[in-house]
Amino acid sequence: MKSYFVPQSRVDFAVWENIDVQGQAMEVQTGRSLLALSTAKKTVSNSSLASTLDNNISNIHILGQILHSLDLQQARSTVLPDDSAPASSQMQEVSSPPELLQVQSSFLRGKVRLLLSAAPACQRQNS
Amino acid sequence: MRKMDGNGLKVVFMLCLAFVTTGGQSFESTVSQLLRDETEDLKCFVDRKKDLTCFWEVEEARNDQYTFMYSFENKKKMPCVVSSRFVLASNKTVFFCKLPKTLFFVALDVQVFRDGRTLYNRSLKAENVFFVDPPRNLTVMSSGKEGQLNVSWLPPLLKHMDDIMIYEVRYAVEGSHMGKVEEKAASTMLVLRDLQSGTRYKVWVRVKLDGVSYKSYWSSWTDPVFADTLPSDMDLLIVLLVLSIGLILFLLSLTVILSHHKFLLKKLWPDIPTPEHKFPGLFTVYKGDFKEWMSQNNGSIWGRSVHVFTEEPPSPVEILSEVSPTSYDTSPREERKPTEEVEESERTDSGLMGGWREPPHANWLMEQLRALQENPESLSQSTLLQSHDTYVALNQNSQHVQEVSERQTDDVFEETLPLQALFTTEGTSSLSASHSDLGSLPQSSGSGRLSSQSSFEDPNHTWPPKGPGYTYMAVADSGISMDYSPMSSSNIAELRKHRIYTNEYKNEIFGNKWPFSSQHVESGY
Repeated sequence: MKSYFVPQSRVDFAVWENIDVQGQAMEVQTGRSLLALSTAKKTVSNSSLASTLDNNISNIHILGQILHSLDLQQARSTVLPDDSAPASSQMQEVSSPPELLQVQSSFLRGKVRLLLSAAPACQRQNS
Repeated sequence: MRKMDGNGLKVVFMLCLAFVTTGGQSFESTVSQLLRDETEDLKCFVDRKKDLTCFWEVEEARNDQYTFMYSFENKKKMPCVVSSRFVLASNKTVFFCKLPKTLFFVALDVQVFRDGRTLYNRSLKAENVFFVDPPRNLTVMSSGKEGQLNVSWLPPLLKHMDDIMIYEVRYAVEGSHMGKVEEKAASTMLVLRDLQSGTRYKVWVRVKLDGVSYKSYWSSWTDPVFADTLPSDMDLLIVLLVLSIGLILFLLSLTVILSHHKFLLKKLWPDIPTPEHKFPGLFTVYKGDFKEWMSQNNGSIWGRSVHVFTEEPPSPVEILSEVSPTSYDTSPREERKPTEEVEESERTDSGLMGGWREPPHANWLMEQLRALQENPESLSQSTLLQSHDTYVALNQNSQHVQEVSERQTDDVFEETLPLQALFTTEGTSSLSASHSDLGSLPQSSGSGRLSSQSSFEDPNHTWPPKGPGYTYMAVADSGISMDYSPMSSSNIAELRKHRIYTNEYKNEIFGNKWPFSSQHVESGY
């Protein structure tokens, strides 16, 4: 049974607010990479699920471009290849695609959004 | 030290203030609201400090032991200390537990055990059970346009989430239960349109998270704020127009009244006319004693009345005399003289009302008048050369005057007048016939003379009383008009041969009445 290494989506606000922007950016980038790798595995037999995963891959790449445009692209992450055991506290292991998608959703809604909403370019001008 | 103490007090004060203000919505109000809105038995919510609290309702306060266990991401279960509180607003007792650390975007499992047995079990995510405070500083103002109101507010204090809030604005006419709702996202102001003009509105606002990253319940409504819409332009315009026109009219009338106040006062509250000015000293010196006044002021009145006569318009006068001494029913004292020039008049004992009788020599009179018209110059020259003064002498019978005076009271405007003297000044040929408006004067029965007139002639005077130097007038009254024509010397000479016919008449100012009064008229025949 294959396992997917996915980022940690949990957000502890007390901790998150104490991390600087660069640290937050690194966490987001690392997680994005993990998701990209995991999603690219394509080991599902369900065709609808497979098409969903394909869309995710393109979305993850677009997210990378957004982060790059915001100068939040960090140096290449220290993510290990998928066959090596993850030791980072920023990763977690899931065993099924639904779990993978769930983590991906939480990750995007949580950390990614928090990072992007704090970026000056993304500040909404209150009318 | 003093500065330190001062600073310390300030810090304490600020802390207290912060404690009070950062509390936001109280625990009790949140719980009472969720007791209504949340359908789950085990209700959980995250407050503004991002701490998750779960509570459940207890109907009967019993001494039950509750155990609360929770775990994130299927990790190790941890216990939470359970407390209880009585919620006054809901009149219920609740048990609750506040997690020491809350993690978001991960699965959370909660279990409640009562006496060792599972009471509640719930799996949730913390980011989906936010409970936000209501918006702050709600302000409603008129937008300057008809039927519009500007609504603005501030978002509740919630870090990182200002831009993901959705607002709901409720407004209704004051006193009405029918309200409308408008939703607004990502903005803290709204313009209400299509409102009634000149109406008072009530406005509320509430907020919730947009549900993309975080979900929440609807907050409670703010306290209502009242505002009035502008009155209708047309109504305001009409009111202003009416007021300005009224003001202008008022000012104009005031100006007119002030500038003509004397005139208006005279018209509206006229002075009661008194004849005092025509009788100087009568009421002041002689205290109304006319006899005395007359005796003292005879000569001056003559001149004054003449002046009065010339100012006033002529009144119709009838001079009636009869040439023929027969066929008239007259009193013995009266002397009738036939006249060829004057129409006769009918006399009655009363002397007041008389009718016309066709004079026997009316044709002769008309012939004379025609001759006069054809040759006016000859007659006028013959008379005017003789004298510039022309008058008709009058006489008065005292008895008839008394009779007249008795009847005078019936008519305010009746005047007992002798025929007034006609005077011309030298150099002018105009005749002025006028009467005095002396009104009813008390008659002096003894003297037999009217004080107003100085043109009296006693019956014993010879005719003409003024001698050959004067001209006499013949008066022809056709009932429509009076014609005065100078009498020729031949006619005068003829009249001298006859006795003078006297007649009494009464004069009136207003045209239709021709009562005849007891006044004697002497005319030369």
